[in-house]
Amino acid sequence: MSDLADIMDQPLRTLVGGAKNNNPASALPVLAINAAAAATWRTTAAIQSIFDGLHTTRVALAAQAFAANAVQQQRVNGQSGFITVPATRTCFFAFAVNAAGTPFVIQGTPTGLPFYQNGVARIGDGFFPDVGEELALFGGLKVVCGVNPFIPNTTALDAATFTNTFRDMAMKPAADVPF
Amino acid sequence: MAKKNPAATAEDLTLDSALDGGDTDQATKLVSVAVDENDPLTTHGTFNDGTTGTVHHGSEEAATDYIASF
Repeated sequence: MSDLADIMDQPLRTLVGGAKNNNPASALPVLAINAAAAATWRTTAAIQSIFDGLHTTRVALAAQAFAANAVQQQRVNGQSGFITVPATRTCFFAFAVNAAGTPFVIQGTPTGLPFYQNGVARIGDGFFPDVGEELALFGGLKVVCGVNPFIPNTTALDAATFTNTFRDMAMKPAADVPF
Repeated sequence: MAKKNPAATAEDLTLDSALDGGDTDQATKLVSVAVDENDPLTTHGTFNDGTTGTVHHGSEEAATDYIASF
């Protein structure tokens, strides 16, 4: 029978059977704020993923801090951890698990924020970040700051002056700003 | 020779201020939360200083759980 190795195009192979979320629409993980006034997140249902054709299930996660993935975060903005989203900026956060079920959060670059990556000056685009080929994306958070900056793991996800949007996701959308 | 560290920008100052624990919202306290009249997936929190925060939840279940956690 055919297997994933028969798909010669690597990105297509990844989309078909690589790291991706596999929750059916009837059983979404439901990424959400952990509780009122919390800086942590949770899922109310299990996270089902596929890694190289293999199903994996991570039980529902409660009271999770934003855990950085240094390798992938470096690819996005040259940082090993999170940066503060300055006031008035918008920033996406991608939520993903690895094949062992460990959750990570990848931060996008805040709109218009200058930063250095490998010695090169860049400007943040406010786009949804890539989670790489090793992580299965299952959700996203868009943080729109008002007059206050957003500090991951410190600022409550329902704090005053912010508009935050949670979404369950199956794979990285084609749109740079998907919601 | 190019400067290694160019002059600070307004964004840098904002970032520094935030990292120093300065201008954050942490002094405010959430005093009430309510579901949006037109969108059951959206809740609005009101803080003791009169400001509001908005959360768009992924489902009605998540919004309901959030209200219950208040």
